Amino acid sequence: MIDLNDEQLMQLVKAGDLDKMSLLFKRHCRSLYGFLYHMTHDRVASEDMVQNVFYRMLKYRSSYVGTGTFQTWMFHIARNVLKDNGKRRHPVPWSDKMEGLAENLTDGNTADQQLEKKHDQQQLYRAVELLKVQDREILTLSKFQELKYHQIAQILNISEGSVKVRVHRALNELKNIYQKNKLL
Amino acid sequence: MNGEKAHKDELENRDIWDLLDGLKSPEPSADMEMRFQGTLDHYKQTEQEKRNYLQQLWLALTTLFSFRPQAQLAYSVFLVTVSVVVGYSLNQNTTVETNDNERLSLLANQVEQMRKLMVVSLLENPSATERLRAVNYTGEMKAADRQVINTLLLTLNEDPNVNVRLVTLDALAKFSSQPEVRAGLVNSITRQESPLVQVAMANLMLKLQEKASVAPLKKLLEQEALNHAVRSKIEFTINELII
Repeated sequence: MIDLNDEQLMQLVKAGDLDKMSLLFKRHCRSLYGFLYHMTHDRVASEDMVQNVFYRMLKYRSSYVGTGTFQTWMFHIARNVLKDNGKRRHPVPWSDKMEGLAENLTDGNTADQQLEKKHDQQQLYRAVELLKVQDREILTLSKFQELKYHQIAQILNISEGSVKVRVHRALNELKNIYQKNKLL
Repeated sequence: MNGEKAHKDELENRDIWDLLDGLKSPEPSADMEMRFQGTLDHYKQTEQEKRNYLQQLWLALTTLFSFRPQAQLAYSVFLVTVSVVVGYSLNQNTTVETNDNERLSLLANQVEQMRKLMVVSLLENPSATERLRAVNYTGEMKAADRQVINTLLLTLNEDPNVNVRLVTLDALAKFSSQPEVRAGLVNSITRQESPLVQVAMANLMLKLQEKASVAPLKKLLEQEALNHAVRSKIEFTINELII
């Protein structure tokens, strides 16, 4: 049963085999959490939203038509949940945002190198945060979720060409903000 | 030069792209899966309860009807009763609607009466403007009764103001389908002295094709002081009417 792909599992859920949803959760909760975390920089809210996305998929399982991939559908719902959540969410303190960053600096360089890298990443982190929501979203989907351009195009409901242009533009914007902050 | 810049941009973008690797998201908490499992179990239970309830209801109904024919009868009687009650209440609503319509027509009637009273009383007002206003009110009336018509005819014959008499003539033309109005208009012809009213009167008679007006119009022609233009107009009207 593990060999079934996402779309087949979702079709089974739609047919009433609700337990299959836990398999889908296992497969996708991390990547979904990653997406939501990069969009909000809030661990607790991201976890809540992951639960919310999967709950909505259960509740509205009959609306799953299976024309696109399961992942596309999931990110569609995630974007809606994000929008709903955005209306209510309070800004997260800076210290909370930095929390996730420190965990990633564990390679075995010297203390100075690590400090420098940490500083660079803090600058980059600030730059990412200063991006427009649309730019941050497209970079998150292409870089952190490693989705193909045609998948992103389906999620955002735009053409593949537009995705390429937007990714390039977002990257340029990020570079500009990052370099400006570095000089300060 | 441009190609060099583009190449440099590309390299810088790649550096940024690589640097982004360091911003991998943190791991979610360990109990996230457990929490979802709890949500899923709860959801399944709710769904199951819903399904069970519907199944039980269906089972109860089928059992009731398959073993007890009198239950079928009772259900039929129940349906008929509900239909009768619904039908009766709908009928009541129709009655209420009819009452509303009656009330509305009563109200419209009262407004019409008020308007009539206003016309009659305003026509006795010494101000010509007020009398003009009164005549204009008759334009909003659907039909005129004998009292209004008599008042209007009196105004047409007696009012000292030419404008009021002209407007009154127009107002009476509106009710010309009523025989007493036509008769009153014909009788009024010889009483008019203003050339303007005489011409208007001749026009109206022609429009109404009122042959009874030929005699009074001829009588008008007998007046020596009759305006030359009016005389031609009346002669023309008589010729048209007697054809």
